Amino acid sequence: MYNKNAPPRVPPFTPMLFAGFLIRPIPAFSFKPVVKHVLDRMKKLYPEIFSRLAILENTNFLIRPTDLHYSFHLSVQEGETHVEVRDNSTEHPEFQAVISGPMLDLIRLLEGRVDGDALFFSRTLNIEGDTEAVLTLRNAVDSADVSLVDVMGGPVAFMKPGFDKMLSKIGSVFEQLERDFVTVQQSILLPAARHMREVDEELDRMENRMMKMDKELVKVKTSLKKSSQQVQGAR
Amino acid sequence: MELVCPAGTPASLRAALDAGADVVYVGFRDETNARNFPGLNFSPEELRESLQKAHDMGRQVYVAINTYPQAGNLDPWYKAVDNAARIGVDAVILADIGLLDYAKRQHPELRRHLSVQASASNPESINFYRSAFDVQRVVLPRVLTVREIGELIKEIDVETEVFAFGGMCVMAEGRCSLSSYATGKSPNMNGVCSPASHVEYEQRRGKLVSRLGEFTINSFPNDEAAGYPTLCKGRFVGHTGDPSYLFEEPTSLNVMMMLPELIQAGVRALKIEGRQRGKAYVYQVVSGYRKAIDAAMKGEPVPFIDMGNITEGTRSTAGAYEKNWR
Amino acid sequence: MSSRVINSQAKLTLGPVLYNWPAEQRRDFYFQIADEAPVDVVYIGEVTCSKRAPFFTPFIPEICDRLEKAGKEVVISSLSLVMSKRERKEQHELVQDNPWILEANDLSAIELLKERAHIVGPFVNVYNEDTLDYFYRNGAQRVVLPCELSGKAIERLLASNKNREIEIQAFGRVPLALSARCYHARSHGLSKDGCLYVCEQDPDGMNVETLDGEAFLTVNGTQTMSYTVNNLLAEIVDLNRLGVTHFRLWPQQVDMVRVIETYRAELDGTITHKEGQETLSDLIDFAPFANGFYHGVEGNRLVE
Repeated sequence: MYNKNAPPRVPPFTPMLFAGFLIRPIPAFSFKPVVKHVLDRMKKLYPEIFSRLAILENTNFLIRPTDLHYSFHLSVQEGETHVEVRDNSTEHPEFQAVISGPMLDLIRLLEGRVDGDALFFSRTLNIEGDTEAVLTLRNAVDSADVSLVDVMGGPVAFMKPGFDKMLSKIGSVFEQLERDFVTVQQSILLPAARHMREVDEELDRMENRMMKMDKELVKVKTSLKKSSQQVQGAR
Repeated sequence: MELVCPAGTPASLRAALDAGADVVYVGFRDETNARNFPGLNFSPEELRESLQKAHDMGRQVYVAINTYPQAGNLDPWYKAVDNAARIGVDAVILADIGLLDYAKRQHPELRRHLSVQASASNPESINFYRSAFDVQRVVLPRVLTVREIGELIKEIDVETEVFAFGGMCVMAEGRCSLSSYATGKSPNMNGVCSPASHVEYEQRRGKLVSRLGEFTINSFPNDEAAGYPTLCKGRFVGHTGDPSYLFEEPTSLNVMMMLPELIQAGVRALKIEGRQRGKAYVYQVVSGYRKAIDAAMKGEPVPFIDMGNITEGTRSTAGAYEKNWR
Repeated sequence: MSSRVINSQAKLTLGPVLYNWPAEQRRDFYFQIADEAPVDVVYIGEVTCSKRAPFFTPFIPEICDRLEKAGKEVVISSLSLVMSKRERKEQHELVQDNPWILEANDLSAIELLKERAHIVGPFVNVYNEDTLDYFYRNGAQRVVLPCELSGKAIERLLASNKNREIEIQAFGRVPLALSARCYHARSHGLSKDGCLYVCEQDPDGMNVETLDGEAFLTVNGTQTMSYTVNNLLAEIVDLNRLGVTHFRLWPQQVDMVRVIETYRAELDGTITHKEGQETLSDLIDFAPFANGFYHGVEGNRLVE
């Protein structure tokens, strides 16, 4: 069981973070119809994903976009996949697995546009808890060619013609913004990062020394014990 | 030069074909293949549809049935071979001697390749499989240098396939019980190495610590590229008393720059590792290798294609193909 | 322990020395085994690294002679990973020239031994009854099973292969993996070609610890081994009942004569389990025991 009520670490500096500030006043339950629509459409368009998820019965996932104030709770119960949006300030139930990363990367992962392992190796994506469940989810999602434009473009009242185009436009604006943000972030953070690395290295050195001293101590204890046994033996 | 590409799902298979794979290799969704990961692999029905698609495009599909059948429970492996034959795949990739024998007896017309898991690293071994089971191709273990491969090819009467890109075993494949020593599950018996079910990541004072079973395999400072806790690619303490990558760094094999030499050596097919990776990986690697092979076959210089982002530890190596690796 | 089935038919074997012991020391070790140890079969030869072979090979005929005079069955073990032209040539010569029976540790040796009786070694993959049967049909006189097979798997294997000679690994650090790369050399900052034979410094292998300082594996040149010492003393009587005929003890730098005597006494029912285990615990002080593979769990574990 993995309980993750702890506040998230410092969020990544992304356009999503700013978009997140704007939508923060919206309560999580308002997203319910959108999430339901997306999930229903996905079940219809990509049944193969959900058949591969069936083995995850009773597994609870927390999918946490690190640059938003909301999290997604995904679970499989009696063969049915459920997704809920929750505000991070509310109490989270228990989870077996937690996946966290920037929202745009999570979307790219959903659409199979990036390799999950690659995101993980580069430390963009973090996973905690049941690694096997996370892998199963990734493999299941990757088994279909998901397109969010197709998913959103389904019949729903508030969607007008031209919505598809708008969606992809928003997507490309965000991706350009993301690149700009990275540039800004690097120039601001570089000196601090250097300093942090030095501190970290110093800590590592101290830790290694402690470990060596620990081992020495064990050796001393063992030889003491041996010599006292020898003394006893001699008696 | 044939480009043989991995697919863990039908979507990855489509990505591989779109990216220019000549052949896609897959496995059934059970313990009969060496990438027996949850949520991965093909049902017989998915294989049938995928094979149709590949054949429509003039490409091929191989099926890996490359674990070692379990004593007293041979049926799943027999059935996998029977299914592959019935569906009409272009070849099966086998490792176990008993299963090779079965396939030869029951389906003599089904093309048989020798899996890397059989670790046939010399002409005598390969000739054994050739004469006993009529194998048409051998996937060479990742222990030989390019020069040794060239010499070996001259002494055998079988096609050779070599690994070009992806996760790399540092041990002789199919002859390693490190995973079962730490987790109870092995590539040979269960089709998994360092299985996710035994993997845990934890944050310890600003470091990502990866554990396999009871053992700490690695620890990554937050600005360092991470790796999967495959136990031969962990940081350990040996003779010097300092932590190091005693067996191998978390790195990916990439022999793109050696393509002209491999072609010269007479290698018949290049294999990309990674049935467990996503379709984005498959598309990127296969596209890159398609371009590189096309250039090399025309005698043009191999273009530099950056794969840094998808390699493990974001690093790559020519591995055992170069003698100094040893 | 009067209720125990006493089976003196079960044979004890001494596996080849997997480590790089100095040639003279290795010779003296075998002389002592010939003169003092109640072991039925002795395997001898370089299995791990072909670079070590030239030093010890000249002593082999003399040792085999002494072992045979002492009534032991002698088996020559072949190299486990055969790659280079030189290794292949040496293997050809081994197969052609030697009058003793051979243990094949690679398929290449089995190919060369086609027409002759041989033993299939523990480095050849035998996981099921079909493969086992194939090897017997191909001329194998005895088959040594891989280390990771569980007791249950061994039972199922033997169910369809009655009255054949079968050997399992009962004692010693277990060889887990082979590589083209030498980790002993690598850990000393050397390459395999210029290794300076640093593996000679660690007669029971080099300990490998995790970052937490926990002992994990043992490196023996190109071979990676368990840190724990496999010990199936408590299981061999059952295994013998299932049909296992031979029990392999891997040499370690301990009083192997006493290890062999303890296993013999266990098989003959002349000591209790407890006495046997206590003797072994006194003899093996460098690492804990394990029997996890036999019990179908993590190989490093000890199931009581």
